[in-house]
Amino acid sequence: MEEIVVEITHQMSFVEYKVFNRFPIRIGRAFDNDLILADPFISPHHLEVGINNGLLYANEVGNENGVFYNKHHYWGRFIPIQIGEEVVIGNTKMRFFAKDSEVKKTRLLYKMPGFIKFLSKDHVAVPFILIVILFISLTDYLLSGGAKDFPAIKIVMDIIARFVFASMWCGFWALIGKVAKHSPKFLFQMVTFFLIYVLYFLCSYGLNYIGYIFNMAFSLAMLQFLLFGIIFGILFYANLSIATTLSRKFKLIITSILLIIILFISVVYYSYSKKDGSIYEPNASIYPSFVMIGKVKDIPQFIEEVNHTDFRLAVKKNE
Amino acid sequence: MKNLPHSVEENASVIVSLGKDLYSKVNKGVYRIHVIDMVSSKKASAGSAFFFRRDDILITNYHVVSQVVNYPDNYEIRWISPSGKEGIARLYAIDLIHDISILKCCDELHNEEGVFVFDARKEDISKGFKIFSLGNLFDRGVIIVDGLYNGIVENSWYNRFLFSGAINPGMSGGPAIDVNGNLIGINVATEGNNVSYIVPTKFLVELYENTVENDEYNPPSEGWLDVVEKQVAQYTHKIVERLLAIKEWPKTDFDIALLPADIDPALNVWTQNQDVRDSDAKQRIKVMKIYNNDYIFVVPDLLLGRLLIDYYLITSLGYHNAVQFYKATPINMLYSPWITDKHIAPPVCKSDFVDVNGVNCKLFFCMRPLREFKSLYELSFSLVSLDFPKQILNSDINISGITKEDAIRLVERFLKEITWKR
Repeated sequence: MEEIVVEITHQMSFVEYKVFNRFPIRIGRAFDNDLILADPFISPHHLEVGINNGLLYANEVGNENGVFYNKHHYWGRFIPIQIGEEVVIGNTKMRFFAKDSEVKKTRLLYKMPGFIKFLSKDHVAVPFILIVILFISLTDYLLSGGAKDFPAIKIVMDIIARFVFASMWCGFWALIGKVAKHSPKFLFQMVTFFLIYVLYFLCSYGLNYIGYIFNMAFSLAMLQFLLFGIIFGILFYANLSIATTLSRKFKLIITSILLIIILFISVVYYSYSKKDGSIYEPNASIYPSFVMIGKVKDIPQFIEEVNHTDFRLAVKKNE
Repeated sequence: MKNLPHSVEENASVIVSLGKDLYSKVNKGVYRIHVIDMVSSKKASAGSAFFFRRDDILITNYHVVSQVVNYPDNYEIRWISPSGKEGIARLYAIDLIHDISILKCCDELHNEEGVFVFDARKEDISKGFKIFSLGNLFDRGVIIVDGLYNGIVENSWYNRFLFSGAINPGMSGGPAIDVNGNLIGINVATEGNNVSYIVPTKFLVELYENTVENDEYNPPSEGWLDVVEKQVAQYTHKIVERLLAIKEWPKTDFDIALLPADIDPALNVWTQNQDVRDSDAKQRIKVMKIYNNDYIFVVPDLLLGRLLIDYYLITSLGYHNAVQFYKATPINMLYSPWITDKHIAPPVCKSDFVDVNGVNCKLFFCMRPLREFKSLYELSFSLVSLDFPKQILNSDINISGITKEDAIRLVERFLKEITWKR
């Protein structure tokens, strides 16, 4: 059984420690609470603090005053709480510590890297996002080999499209956050999204270069998809952790289902493009398939493979 | 042949009377041919035909009756005699390559009117020889035109005669004769401006002797389409054999490689060299096209047997790196515009990275199967060199109506013949 130590600072001055091993801990002014606080700004039954799958959460029971946690004001249920951080109700500050190591471990899940904290400040995030969008669009433009198929309007549309895409993503999480009554900042979402997008973008172009330089051939489209799937999965899982207090098992299940759906769609798409017996190369730009990996064949090997190819397959299906 | 008088006027009058005499002599041997749609009973195509050696054997072009070959349930052949009598003719034999068909006809008629039966001229003829051609011009009546024999067409696998007379639509299938009415050939095609082609009689005689005369002929049990398939396959097989029999294909310097060109006299070679002068001019494209002008007519939207080899050398003029350059260079496969989708299925491709004589290339071996002919395909092969950071060599081969085995042999030989210059 886990034990939680609560550090209570009454009226912002007097400090008291109490140990609890029964959960949830009911906190409020009334006498039937586990932790009774004589504070006029606290409701009779204000808060419950519990543990769910090793995560500490605060659950508002019936108050109109809300909770200050981590300098943000929340109303709602199942607000995740980090070990050692301040929770303020009325004029009382509380900090929760774990005696048990299992509880301590959960801290890590909530810790944001310092640079993301920095980036998610409004005056940093807005220019950052704009620079990222411009960077992606311009690099795409330059790498695509000039203006031939890339009129100015396309760049503008590209920028808008990327912005809309990012906003949709952030809006989705804002909605999840609203349902969970705990919304990580919109801009924070934007920043994490674009960080990962840049990473993906660099990877896909990087792969092209690596493939070209080292003379490798593989299905680049599939690899790009795989990379995108992995990154998307991580991003999705991280956001689930931030915005909800779902159990780890549940989060993994949801993320897996999502990835399976993406994989399914891509496989369906891929096989659909092969359905009429053609492959994607004949009338498309050949470039994506120029990237080589593995062993280059010799002519007899190629002829042998051609010999074993059934070129009438598509017609046979229809006959 | 008459001795010609010396003055120009007298010459002219003799030629006029020659034509008149000849026409009245042979016109009873030239019939009009209609291919009739059995549903509407209206004509779908019209041409000419003539009697050859027998009064129940009519000769015409294959392309005049091609619809009957390909859709035997929908069309029938109707003959119309000079006096206006009509009847149904039956297809007896076809030669797709030389565009000849033999019809059996006229049981109803049987020499009632006394038809003229043509036979082949025995002696050889030389350039400048006067010949006449008869035919059902635009289906408005049988006419006679004159012109000169101009020898066998060069740069062709067909052995057709060039004729300086005006053969026009509707005259296809009519006889080309000398002044005595001996058959020299069959009218077949025109390119306008009095450039006309005539199929030599020897191919007709061959077909006639193999079928009618030897009486080995039985109507094909599988149907006419199998005969067509066999003949097309034989034709393309002959082309491939002919090309493979050449010990070493002559080569042309093409900047980064020595490439096969002038492989066969029947293949024309044309080159072009141009900068792409768009606002973002970044490429110089050098083109060489090698092709023959002959094709096999099956139906109007299915022309087979034409060989085309393309070389494109694309040189980068302004890209920063190879990836940019390769990405901006679209490589398209070469497909025949003379085959509509009705007759051909989408391509199936085998592509891979292959070391072609020391240079890494990407090869695309695509085949479009012909729907009606189970053993025939359109080959579209493409090679793209990958080892030159500033240059791309893209080479295509296209030939339709070929079997898989022949296609593979042709491509294999082609790959062996490419020599790189580094």
